[in-house]
Amino acid sequence: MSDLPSAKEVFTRPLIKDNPVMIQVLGICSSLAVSSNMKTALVMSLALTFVTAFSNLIISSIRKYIPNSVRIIAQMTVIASLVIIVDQLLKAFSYDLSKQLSVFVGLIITNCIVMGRAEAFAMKYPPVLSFLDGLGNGIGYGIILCFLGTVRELFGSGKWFDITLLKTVNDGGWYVPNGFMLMPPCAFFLIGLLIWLTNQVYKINTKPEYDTSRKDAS
Amino acid sequence: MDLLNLFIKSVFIENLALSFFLGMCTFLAVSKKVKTAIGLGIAVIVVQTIAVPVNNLVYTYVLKPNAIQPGIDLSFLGFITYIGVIAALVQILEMFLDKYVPSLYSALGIFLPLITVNCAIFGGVSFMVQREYNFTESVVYGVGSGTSWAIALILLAAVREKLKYAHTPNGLNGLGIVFITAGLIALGFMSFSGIKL
Amino acid sequence: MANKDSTLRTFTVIGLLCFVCSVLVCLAVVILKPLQEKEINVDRMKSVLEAAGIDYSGRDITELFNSKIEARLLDLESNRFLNAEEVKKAVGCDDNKSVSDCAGSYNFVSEAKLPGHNADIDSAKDFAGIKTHAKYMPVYLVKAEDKSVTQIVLPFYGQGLWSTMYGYLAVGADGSTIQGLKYYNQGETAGLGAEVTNPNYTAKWISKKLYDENSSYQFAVKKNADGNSQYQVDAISGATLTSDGVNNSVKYWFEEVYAPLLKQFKNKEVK
Repeated sequence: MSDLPSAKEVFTRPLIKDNPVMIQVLGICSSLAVSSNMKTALVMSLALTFVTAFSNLIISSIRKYIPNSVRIIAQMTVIASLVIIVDQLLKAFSYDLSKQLSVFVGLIITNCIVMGRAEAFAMKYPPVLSFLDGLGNGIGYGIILCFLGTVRELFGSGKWFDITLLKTVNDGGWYVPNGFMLMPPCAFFLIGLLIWLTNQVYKINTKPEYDTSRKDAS
Repeated sequence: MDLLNLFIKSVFIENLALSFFLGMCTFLAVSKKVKTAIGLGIAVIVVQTIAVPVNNLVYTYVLKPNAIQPGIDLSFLGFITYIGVIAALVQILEMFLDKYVPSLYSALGIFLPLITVNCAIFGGVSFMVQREYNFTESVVYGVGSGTSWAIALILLAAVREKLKYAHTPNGLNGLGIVFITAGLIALGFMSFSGIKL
Repeated sequence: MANKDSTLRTFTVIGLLCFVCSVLVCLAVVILKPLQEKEINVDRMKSVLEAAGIDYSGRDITELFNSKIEARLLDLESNRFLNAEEVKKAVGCDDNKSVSDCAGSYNFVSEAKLPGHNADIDSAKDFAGIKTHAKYMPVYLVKAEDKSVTQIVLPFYGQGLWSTMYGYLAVGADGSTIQGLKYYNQGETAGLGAEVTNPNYTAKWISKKLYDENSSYQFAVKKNADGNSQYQVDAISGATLTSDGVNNSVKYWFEEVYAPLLKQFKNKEVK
């Protein structure tokens, strides 16, 4: 354990540059389903950040005791317990939201971000760093989710956090909402475009596997 | 007839990958080649076909309110039990195949353990519980929903094989264009939604 | 750490882990249970008040609810209200809960799935696609100052496009005029099917009629509804399948289930 990454790096890398949704392709399912409005997107991000951070912390602190043959089940047990606790907390303190999120809170268990970070990071590094890694990945996921939520809710129903910004025709205003924005496939396009944007900003050059352009013709 | 309807419905209309967007991570990560896609697809069908009915039994005889004894409601343990059953099943299946059907085992390779975290399986199980299928229905639904996911995966893989030769804008290459392709395929599948059999 | 993978070690570690996790989970469930029940109760009261068109903002929900509304249990077979003792027996609450609270906490969704507590629905009549219903249904009587019943708020549910949709419909003193609609639990497409919860949409339902003079069911939710008809409401635009679901659930519950009760109500037999 000589070359531990710095805490700052562990926390900031997953925010944009190594973003779990865009770059690592983890946790896509829920980001498609709950991002059609801001409120659920935000609560989902918070719930996921909580679960990832603490599951990383716990798994990392017991990583030396977990036998290799059953490590997946052991990780699952920790994650599932945390998710049930989050689900129960939501039901007790924000019943309204828990109604909307019901299925997806359960799906945090199989959200690959949690599992992926537990397996890839928490099993190798000490607790505090793992906690930060979980926090960073959770927030990275949250950033994407909130971006999608903003675009989809604003153009899909003319609102943001349920506050009307563009008054829709249904409510007697002028804005004809773009229903497509609210459909799950739309999130695919938005994430695709977002990846394009990050690649441009960070000058990541993704070469095609086969270059079909004819530039030389010697 | 009802069972046939249920099968068709679970394959096309309620496609796990393209209507409910479950199992997306593996869906996008393991769809580079048709051959591997078929391998993973078969693995998912097998696991789904076993996991849904087994969880159906667990739910009916243990977790359902009043199942063990009147007044005992264990349904809050649902999540943890289902995922436990799935993880255990996958590991048992892995050991079994390794010992008795080594050819299939080596064909499936790394995909088997990956299935534990595939939310398509978990989603399928939760839908089965939510919709209260009986045992026979749950077998049919298991096969159907597994197939639906496999079909979607193979479709995407086939498109991606061709995409390799396409000239996409710089930066959109790779994952970006895959997301957009998946979106287009999903849009196509949306036309099935709401068809009543 | 040489024998990290020995069988004994594996069992001990997993056993311990499971034990700790189960203790934590159980603690969370047990400690939070009363809070959750309270939340569920308040949520239900809010929905009923909203359906009845009573403004609850800034008021104590429980107090307001108890002063205006009384819950009863309706026996769907004999179409009569249960008396206090039967209610307590059916729901299983203790004596320090009022009869109204007790009737309101009857969980018709889970009861509908319990053998012996439910009744099968004839598949030809099962428009709502719910297969079984509970033996009883909670019914909310909205009372005026002089204790006369001015509205009945009735729970109903049925399949939408993606989900089972649960709602309350408030019916006025003539046993036919709709006075409010509130869907309190649904998982339809946000912005399309989910518009069914939009107050601007539910306002269209108010003062429509369920039955004609001969008490036969006429109500329908459909596309391009006849604006002059008092029995038709426009479907939600862009959400045909959700609207069909809404139409079918209302049809099932109000044609097949609540019609006799509402007839009694019309004849002023409900107190």
